[in-house]
Amino acid sequence: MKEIAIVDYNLGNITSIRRALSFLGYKSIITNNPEIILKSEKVILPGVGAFPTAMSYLKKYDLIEAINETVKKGNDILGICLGMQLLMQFSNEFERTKGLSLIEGDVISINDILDDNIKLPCIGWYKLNKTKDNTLLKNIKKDQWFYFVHSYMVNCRNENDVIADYSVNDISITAIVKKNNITGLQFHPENSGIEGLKFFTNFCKS
Amino acid sequence: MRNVRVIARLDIKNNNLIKGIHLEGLRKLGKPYDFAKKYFQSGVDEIIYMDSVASLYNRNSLNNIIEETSKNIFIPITVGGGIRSIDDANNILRSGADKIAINTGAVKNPKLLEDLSNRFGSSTIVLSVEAKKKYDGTWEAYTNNGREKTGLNVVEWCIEAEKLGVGEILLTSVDNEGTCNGFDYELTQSVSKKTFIPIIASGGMGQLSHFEKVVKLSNCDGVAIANMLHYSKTTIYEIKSYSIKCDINIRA
Repeated sequence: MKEIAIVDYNLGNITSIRRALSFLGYKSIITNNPEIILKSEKVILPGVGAFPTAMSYLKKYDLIEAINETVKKGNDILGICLGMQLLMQFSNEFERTKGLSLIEGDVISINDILDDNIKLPCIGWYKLNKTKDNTLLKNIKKDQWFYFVHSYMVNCRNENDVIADYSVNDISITAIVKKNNITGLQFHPENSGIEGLKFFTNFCKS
Repeated sequence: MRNVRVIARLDIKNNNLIKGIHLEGLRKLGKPYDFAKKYFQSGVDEIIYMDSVASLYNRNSLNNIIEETSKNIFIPITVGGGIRSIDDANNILRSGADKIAINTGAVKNPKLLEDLSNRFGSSTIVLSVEAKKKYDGTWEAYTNNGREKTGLNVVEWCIEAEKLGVGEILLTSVDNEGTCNGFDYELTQSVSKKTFIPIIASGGMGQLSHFEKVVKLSNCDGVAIANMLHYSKTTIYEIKSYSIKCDINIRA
């Protein structure tokens, strides 16, 4: 298999993702070069950072077109945390900002939907609740814990795009979205122990 | 209710895991990576590496340790010690860290917290606070392993850091650190009440009941443990089983 492109938009823990892939035997390249991204069959949009900063960086380096083209060609794209949120149409983080609009819906603060505000970012290990059957979850045991760290959450317009959610104070927060060749994970598979790594295996093999 | 994190804190000096009392009188215990790996395999939720001399000598020597760790350990790794600039932070993140903790650099230049949060995201930036109690019942923030006074009131400093964009506070009681006499519950409570970001309580755990007490009394979100783990006085499994019995939400 060709190298997996990890889109570098100048933010957080990109190396962790690369190390996780290499532990599993997959080669990857951290890049902000649209041509390399266009040549890759698998593209990862990592993410720890702020939505507006990320979008303006993607725009500046002509990465938005490369990502759209990747999706159009039918190549697989995986957004992690902020990378998942970027897949949506709009975000309210700081100011209303347009996203990649690959999945319908928007990004709102977790506290927008909670009656009793919680401390943000919401950091910790949580179990997924409902999961739809999906190749992405192959070999992943039920009742596993995954590491989340986020203040904003995805609000999908189309319920069919939501594969799994988790609960904070009995409120459902979207954890996995999937629409055709586009996948998003709100948690960090690279930080979620051996069980988390299986998401990369499933993504790389799909 | 929140899920509480059990965090192994590893203080490092010249590539060795060390442990002292009140962050002083350091003893070498072995290779940090070996300890981190053991904790990862037994289910710890997070690892903190603190380079205890980096601030004094203006350097950070942790890169090799971070690299080795992130190749084999797949949980969040926070790294602190000697971070003075965006470049320092970037260097550590590119080595494989997930979050950075900052104390001296932020005290000297609070704006750095804002710059770091804007660049890497709030959830990547942890404010590390070394607190000592004063005679008037308030706490003062220290740097360089509790050696240097800053004149900053801990609670006010934490409030300011939150405004500047940090995503988390690692709150160490220098008075209690290494004593095994329990956490400074009042300190953790005071900061927790006045801030709206996650707090990690650090310094003083000597028995399992201290864990329960700090979580229940202070509303902290994570507990950093050093001594008890490094000297094998308890295990991650024991801490977690105990917590579940006490109705604390925790990753089993």
